[in-house]
Amino acid sequence: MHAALAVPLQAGVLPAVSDDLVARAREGDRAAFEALYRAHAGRVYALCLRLSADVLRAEELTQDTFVQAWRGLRAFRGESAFASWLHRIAVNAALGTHRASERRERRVLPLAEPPQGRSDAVDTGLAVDLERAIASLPPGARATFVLHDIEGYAHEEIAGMMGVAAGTSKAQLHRARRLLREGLTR
Amino acid sequence: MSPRLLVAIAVAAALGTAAPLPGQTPIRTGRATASEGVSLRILNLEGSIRVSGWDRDSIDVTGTAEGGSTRSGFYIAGQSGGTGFKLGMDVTAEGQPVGAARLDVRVPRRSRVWIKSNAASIEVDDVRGGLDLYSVSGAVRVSGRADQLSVESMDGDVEIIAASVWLKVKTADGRVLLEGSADDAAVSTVSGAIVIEGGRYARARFESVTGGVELRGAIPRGGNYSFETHSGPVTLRLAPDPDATVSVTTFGGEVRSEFGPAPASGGSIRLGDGEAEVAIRTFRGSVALRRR
Amino acid sequence: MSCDDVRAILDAYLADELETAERRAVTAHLASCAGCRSEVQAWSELLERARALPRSIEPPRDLWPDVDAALDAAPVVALGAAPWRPRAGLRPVWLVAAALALVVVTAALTTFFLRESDTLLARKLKGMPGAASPSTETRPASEDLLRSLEEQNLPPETIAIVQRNLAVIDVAIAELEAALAEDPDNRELARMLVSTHRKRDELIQGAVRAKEGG
Repeated sequence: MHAALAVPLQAGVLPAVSDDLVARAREGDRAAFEALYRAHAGRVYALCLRLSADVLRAEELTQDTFVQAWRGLRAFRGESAFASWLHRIAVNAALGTHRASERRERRVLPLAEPPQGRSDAVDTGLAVDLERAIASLPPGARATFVLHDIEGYAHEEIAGMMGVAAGTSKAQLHRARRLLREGLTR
Repeated sequence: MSPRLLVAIAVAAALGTAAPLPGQTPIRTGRATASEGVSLRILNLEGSIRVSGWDRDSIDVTGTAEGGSTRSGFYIAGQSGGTGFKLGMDVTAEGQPVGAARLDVRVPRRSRVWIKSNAASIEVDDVRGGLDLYSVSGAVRVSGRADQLSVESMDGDVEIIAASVWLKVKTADGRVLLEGSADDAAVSTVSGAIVIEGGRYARARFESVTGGVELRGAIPRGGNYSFETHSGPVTLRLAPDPDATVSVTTFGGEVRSEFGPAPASGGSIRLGDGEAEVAIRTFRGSVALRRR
Repeated sequence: MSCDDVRAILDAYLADELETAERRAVTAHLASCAGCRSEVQAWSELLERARALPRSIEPPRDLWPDVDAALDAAPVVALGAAPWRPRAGLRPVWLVAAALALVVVTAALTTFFLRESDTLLARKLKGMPGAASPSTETRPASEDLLRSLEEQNLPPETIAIVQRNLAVIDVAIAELEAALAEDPDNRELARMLVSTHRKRDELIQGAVRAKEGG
């Protein structure tokens, strides 16, 4: 049996015994699941936001991810870290909504350059520039860039998640980086 | 505009100039507030609620409440000069309102306001700290500027004229009329119709099961709009010289276009420079691309 | 090696994936080509900036209350022996029959998200009893949900709104299930089905909200 958690949990602080939390959440302990939520929501949201380039969709995807995680907890045997398992759920949820739009993208006459910036606000800071540029990428290129260059997945994994060949993933990444370079030097 | 919305507005307007009827208690009260971070929760299930932003550091309430010689059921709580306030009409343990009220509330413009109604109509103008509005059958109308705007209604009609940062509207039957603007918008109904009449968004999603979704006007350059229904018809009545790449996915709906050959399911057509992305997905709703 | 050649394999060069000979060729080219050197510089900077982006971003508002509410709308029901425990408190207690009916969809949805394939959802649904046709599993669930709302003393007008909209959604779900049965590998259909199920959850949550707060 797991010992009771001695340290009170605070929002945003990763507790040292998260295994205990997962075990408790699996038994239906809502408070333990909330603690897992507090610890991981930021990572999940960042991923969903960058993959969907849509604040409201990102909120929905984040919620969906945790709801699916709750429902799937019984099937989670702890063979990988909880965080990676959760991450996978988030990626699949986000890609699920854009797989359809990716199919659309293939049939669209290719635009010579990414769409003009959506906001007229003056950018302050290079990070904001880059985030906006990423959000302006076409969906397939954006997903590949986010998963490879920001989240660190390998091309083989990305190919599996997106249902494309590894070569396609590499080509998409090259395209994303090129578009970003052009978008950022404008 | 639905008859229900018209009646709600007419009644509110009429009552606005009438003296309180017998059995009704006039309300005239307020609270001084802090100069920042004010939040207000309003609960009024029956009657009407009107909230507007102003530049004073105070909350001011006028109106009438049912009740009479004994307590009317109206309450206002919150420390003078503080940031958290509540006001409205009491409800019984079973959730029934003690009485109906007509409330006219002025709040500091940057306040965050949460409103809950059952049949009471809700009107908010220029409250900019964040709005969370819930109604069962009362009509909702939001104007002016807002920050984050969330409106949920069961079958009350919703009209958004406000310019906000983000917009979320959810109804079951209620009709939604969108004339405002936002960076991000997510609008969802089950059987209510959604009409975008001049509304402009950077990214928007309009969803319905059986309600029709109709856009009249232009889609901004660089905009990214998604329309999704089960069987509700999707109609785009586009202003002259549209610039959009429109893709359509359907499993049985008819697709018609006044812009040349209609795209087959899974295909898309490019209008003008194609500078906005429009995705239309429906199971068996009809899709029509028309000139305005 | 021409500049175009170099630009085409820049990715691999920066990721150290080139064969020795190719890498030497690129390095040699860079030694004498300022244009390509600045290109390499720009690409490396881009990648560094990407790596420096925050990996965690706090959502603009606390999403836990919505997650919490969604967990209630379809409770975890163990498919094995462990009992389902209703959550103590003021939240509505869904009838076990409704919960069990939802398990059919819940298990399928779980599989959908964990197995990275929309087609699994369709296959799961196909395998479940009654799932391929207008599902008898989901119809009683709606009746039970409505009865549960009545027991919560939601006003009859609200219940009527939920009832007619639930009926609309249930018909849509049945149509999508039937279409998926004909075309089980269709991702778009599977996506629409998941989306319509979510609308059902949201409708119930919206009705429950009439009762809470104040």
